[in-house]
Amino acid sequence: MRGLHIVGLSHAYGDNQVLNNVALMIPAGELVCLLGPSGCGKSTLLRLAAGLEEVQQGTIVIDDVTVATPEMHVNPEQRHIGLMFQDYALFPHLSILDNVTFGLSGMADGAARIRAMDLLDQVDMTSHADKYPHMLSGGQQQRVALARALAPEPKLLLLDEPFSGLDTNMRQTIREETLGVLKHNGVTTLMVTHDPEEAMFMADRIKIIGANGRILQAGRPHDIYYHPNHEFVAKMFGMMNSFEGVVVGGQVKTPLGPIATDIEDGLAVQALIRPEGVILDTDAGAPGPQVEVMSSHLLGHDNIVRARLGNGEGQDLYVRVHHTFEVELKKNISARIDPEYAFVYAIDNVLDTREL
Amino acid sequence: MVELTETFVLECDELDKDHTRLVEMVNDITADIDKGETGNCNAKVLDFINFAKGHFSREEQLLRKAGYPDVLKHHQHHQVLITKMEHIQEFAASAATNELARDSLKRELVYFLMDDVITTDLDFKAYIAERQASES
Repeated sequence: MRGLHIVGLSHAYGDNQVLNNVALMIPAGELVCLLGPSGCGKSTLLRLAAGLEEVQQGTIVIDDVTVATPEMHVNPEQRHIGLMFQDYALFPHLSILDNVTFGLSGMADGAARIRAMDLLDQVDMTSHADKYPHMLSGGQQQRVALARALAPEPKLLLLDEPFSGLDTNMRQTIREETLGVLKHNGVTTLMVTHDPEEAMFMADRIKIIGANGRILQAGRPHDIYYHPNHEFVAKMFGMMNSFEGVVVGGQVKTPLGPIATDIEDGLAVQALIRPEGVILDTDAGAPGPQVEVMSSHLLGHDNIVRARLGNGEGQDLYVRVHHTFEVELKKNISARIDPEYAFVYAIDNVLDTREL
Repeated sequence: MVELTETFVLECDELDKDHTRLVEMVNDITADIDKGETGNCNAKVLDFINFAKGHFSREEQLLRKAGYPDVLKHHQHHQVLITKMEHIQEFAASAATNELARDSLKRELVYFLMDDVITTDLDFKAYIAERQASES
């Protein structure tokens, strides 16, 4: 079946096991993001797929052709792979057009030029064809790097943190353009990133890789965000409010109210609530305990509020408020839970994932 | 079109037959959607889900019989997949009237079968092969 198929991939540097029985399948034309913290092995996986390192255990198959096992290794240039790194790696001494035609050495000059100009047109860079990389902004260099990676019509494109060198506004623009170009060209893509928002924006499917190089969960961005299977996966998306308790009658009590769970009664659990899952109410008689706001920071599209439970002596909560919130004007604030953003894990499971 | 090419084969007849049947069912549903014939989509997805659940039971039974040490872990994986199938059923229910639901249904069926089910099953391919070799 066309696409990328990786089975049972494990890899170690000395005693350091960086990948642990990783498996994934990307159907042709789809984009999968490997999302994980720094040092979890995701770039190693990319290097193995590219053929920049030899496989110690497992199999890598691209478009039904086995390219790597412990016994065989197809060289990178024979794998028909495009690579794009965060530093773009353009050749400084070549013009933009020559950078893009560089990988088209098997084509006649005229055809290579037509192909390169077509790709530069797709990334809106034709007017810069005669310039040199140092004359371009970071975003423009990233566009050229994408054109260069796609020019030879790779079977597989590997993206390693491709937008991390760009500022916030440029990153949003470039990633949207990149996604459009990738889908237009129908290229199978594996992207690694540590940025959850980037993964959710780009991916047809996300695979979460834990700190021990093991895949913890795979699914649509919606599945990963709203139905995280592990504490580790839930916490990938930023700070969490955490409470411990015991399941009684199919729910665990927290100071903000009960949370329903399928976990067996009597088991010790940890409840995690996203900051956007704590709702602050200023209406008199609103349900939930009173909280005291300790600080509020406006981040632009929302506020991150630190509120303290129990008359200023209890646990701090982190709350994301999406509307105007001026703490100086608020009194009698109460807090409650939006269950869509609340997750419960058996403590054993939590301990397991902490060991990752 | 989903294909059970060489790297997806477990070399365990009973399970490979199940996987082949699941592949046929996914291809049938996808072909219906591509032809714009979504009338039976919901029923066909339900058949797929029921067959997949049966497959999970047969597989766990086979693994227990073979003494596979990670059978509990695999059972837990199947429980997660059963939850995932509920979402797939939701897409199927909307497929007749919603293009995005049809796209998501096609995509999720392929990932579910080829990545979540079959590629994960390859974890025990070597173990089953060793057991079969020792028995013959």
